[in-house]
Amino acid sequence: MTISPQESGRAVEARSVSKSYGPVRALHDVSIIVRPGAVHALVGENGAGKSTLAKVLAGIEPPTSGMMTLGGAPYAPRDRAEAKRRGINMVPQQLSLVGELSLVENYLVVGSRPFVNRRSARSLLAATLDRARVEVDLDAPTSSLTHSHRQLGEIVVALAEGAHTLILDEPTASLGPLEVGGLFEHLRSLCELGTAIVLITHRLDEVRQVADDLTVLSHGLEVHHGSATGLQPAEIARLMVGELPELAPRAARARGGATLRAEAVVARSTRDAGLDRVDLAVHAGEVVGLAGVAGSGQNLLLDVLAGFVPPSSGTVTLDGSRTVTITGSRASTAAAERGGATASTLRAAGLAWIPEDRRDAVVPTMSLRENLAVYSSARGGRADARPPVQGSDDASAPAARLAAFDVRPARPELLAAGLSGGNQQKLLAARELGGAQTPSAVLAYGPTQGLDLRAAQAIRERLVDLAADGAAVLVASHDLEEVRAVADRIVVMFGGRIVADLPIAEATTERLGRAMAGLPADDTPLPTLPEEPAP
Amino acid sequence: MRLVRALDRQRWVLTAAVVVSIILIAGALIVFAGADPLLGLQGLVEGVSSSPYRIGEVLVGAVPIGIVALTLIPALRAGVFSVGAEGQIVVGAIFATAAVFAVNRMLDGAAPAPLLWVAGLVAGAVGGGLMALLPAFLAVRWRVNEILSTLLLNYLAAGFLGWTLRTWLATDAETATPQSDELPDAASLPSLIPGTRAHWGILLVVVLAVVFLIWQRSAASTRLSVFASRPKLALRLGATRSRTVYSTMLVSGLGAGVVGWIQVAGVNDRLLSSVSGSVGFSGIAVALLGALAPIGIVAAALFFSALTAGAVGMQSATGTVPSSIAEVIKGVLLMGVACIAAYQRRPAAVVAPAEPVVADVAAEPVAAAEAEEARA
Repeated sequence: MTISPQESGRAVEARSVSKSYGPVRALHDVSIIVRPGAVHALVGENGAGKSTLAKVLAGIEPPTSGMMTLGGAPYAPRDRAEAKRRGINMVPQQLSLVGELSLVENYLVVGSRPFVNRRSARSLLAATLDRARVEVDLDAPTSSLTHSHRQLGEIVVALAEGAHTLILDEPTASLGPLEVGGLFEHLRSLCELGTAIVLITHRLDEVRQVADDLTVLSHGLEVHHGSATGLQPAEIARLMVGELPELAPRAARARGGATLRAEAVVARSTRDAGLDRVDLAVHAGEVVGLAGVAGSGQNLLLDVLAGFVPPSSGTVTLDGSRTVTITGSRASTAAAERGGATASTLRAAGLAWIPEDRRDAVVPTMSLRENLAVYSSARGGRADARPPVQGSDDASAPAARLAAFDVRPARPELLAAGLSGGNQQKLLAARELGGAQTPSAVLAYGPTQGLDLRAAQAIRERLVDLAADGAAVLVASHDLEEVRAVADRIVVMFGGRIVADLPIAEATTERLGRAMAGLPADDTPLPTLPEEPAP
Repeated sequence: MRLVRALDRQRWVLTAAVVVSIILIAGALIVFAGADPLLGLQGLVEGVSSSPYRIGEVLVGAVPIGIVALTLIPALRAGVFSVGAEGQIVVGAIFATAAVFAVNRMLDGAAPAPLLWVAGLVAGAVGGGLMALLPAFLAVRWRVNEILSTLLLNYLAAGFLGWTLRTWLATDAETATPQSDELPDAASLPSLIPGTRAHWGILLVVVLAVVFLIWQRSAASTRLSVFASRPKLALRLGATRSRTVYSTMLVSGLGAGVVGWIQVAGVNDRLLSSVSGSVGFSGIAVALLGALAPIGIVAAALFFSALTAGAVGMQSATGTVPSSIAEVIKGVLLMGVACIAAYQRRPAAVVAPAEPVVADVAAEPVAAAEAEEARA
């Protein structure tokens, strides 16, 4: 990495930085140089220290030892505000925009300047948008923007605050392939303006797509730094984990009857594309992947299948330990309440549920043991509350289950809030997929999100095992690879409709990509194209 | 668990700080009123404990606050913030009074005491329950904010009470304040300790405390906690919004309605316009002060009642310190409780997203969280 004189004026450099939390070393002697005008990818498994390094750079955490410089001058920010003043800003994974406020208002809220009026703030943001060649609605409440636009909005607010070095913590985690492409284009044009970007990511192909420089962390150690060009994802993966785990060979599975069926389901939601007569059947013994760009209706479909949202017409049937049928009706509020009742009925019939946002399903104020056993507190659940006694003693069972899913630390008495995000995800999987009884059906949205490769592989294998035991498994994800790794066939949604249903052998990236973008499967145009979703 | 211990330690420090500031503020108020703080303290202690009658007064004062606070446990645990106990007490008292008079008239004034008690208890509970179901219905059907509706319904109840005491329940006797006829003697709650006003309602508090101690370990209690923080998961447990709002508000309404009956039959022997006496609001404060734990609530209710009784003693001992000092101290105490509660919710986690804080420390997240805690 060579640095030209004018660039070195703003380069952020960390030398031999270490960070310990009590006895635990999250970072050990890590060095990094962030060049202006370049995208610096920071990759590593869960717990490798990526976020810790980012927080040290952004002034959120002070390093335990080591030193940092900014353009050659010592840089030791006391807090995030000071780092911001010096031009280094971090966009967190969970965006910090206030949903009720527009981007302009958000900027006014966070702005460090004491007197900024709305008009000048707006023109400043507009100028920043223009410079970065981004088009985002400045005046709409940010909750009405798409996820990628909120992401861009957050970046624009940071730029307007004078950031010359942006740290993006997994910005692509909840974006579809097209949106990722769009975001990367914008990042490139920011680089042309001299902005330095640190991109934290799990997805190795993104490194090849956008990064100039690369730092790989593993277990708090820096194992590689240098140019990102010419490196293949497989090489990076080898650096991170030593070796990319192979998918277990798939045993042939008998496909049974249709356990989980949606027939002509129509449903509305304010947050997702409405479902437009969706038909879907997931058979016992098969894993169906549900792909689509974010906001294509996958969230709503899973909510309908899980019984949270009542369909306005059509039926949902679960042929589990008993048969549950939900029929659409018009009465909205009353039906919504009845819809709530159906969620527990579906659960009792053996429906396992891993939501997109694990915070919907893990209770942080409860211990791991209580989280695992939460369904024993279900209404009228006395009968199935106690797991079938198999000579196992109750005290060790939760610990064994936690260990089986590699939840660290596997201490049942610990509060769930004390777990890292990835371990909360494993805890959720342990509860939903690790029960003594095989669920009749599994709904999983991004079941391996936030997990490192090994842990993700373990969850995938568990899903496949459940299918082999006769469960009907539906896996949705923004991450095409996650879906492809487990699915026997892939269903693609676009604009609230199912636009493709491909056996895994035919589900090439090209075909899936076209379907996800709402394009016809081949060059012959379809007579009726679904409407483009609002940007 | 080190994290929990660290939390506990800091909680104790905070609690001690609150106690010290209350003592300082109370002392300052006494000095400012031109009295000797030690004399004031002596008056406070004597006001609470100098005679069996005064001890009885503390117990009598603690009963309604305790019942309201205990029956609010489910609602507050589920995050359903009902502040309607005040109005529910009023309606319960009206129903109970009317029922006692009606039963007594039906039996030509010869109704046996147990029948009158049951009539009062049931009618009071029905009144309070109905008064609670109205905001619950509004909240479920049209998503009307329950804090707002219960608060405003308190005024409706107070107005209804005033109208009642001028019309269909008004006494024929000439009185300065609007009130009902005196209840028949048989309807009064017998006193538990001779020579005091302490009545059998005290036992009801004990029973309720035990019931809620057991209930806390139940599946229903877990469901409500899940409902408060994870609505979707709660749906899978069968805790729908309507079920939760109706059931928790009904429990608090029943409790408040019974309090209405107790205040009429056990304390005043007639329906007065001051029947609720801001007991409903004190109940919410006591429930929070007792951290929604039955034992803590009983202790807090006794403390609130003792403070009120003791302040009267202080006023008569010093001659210059007004008894309303008790209200000031309660206010400061509530602020302190609010601070402790806010601290426990860890405001640091609001500023910096909670999850990424520990996201990259897989091996020992507890230590990371503790380090986070220590800096906060």
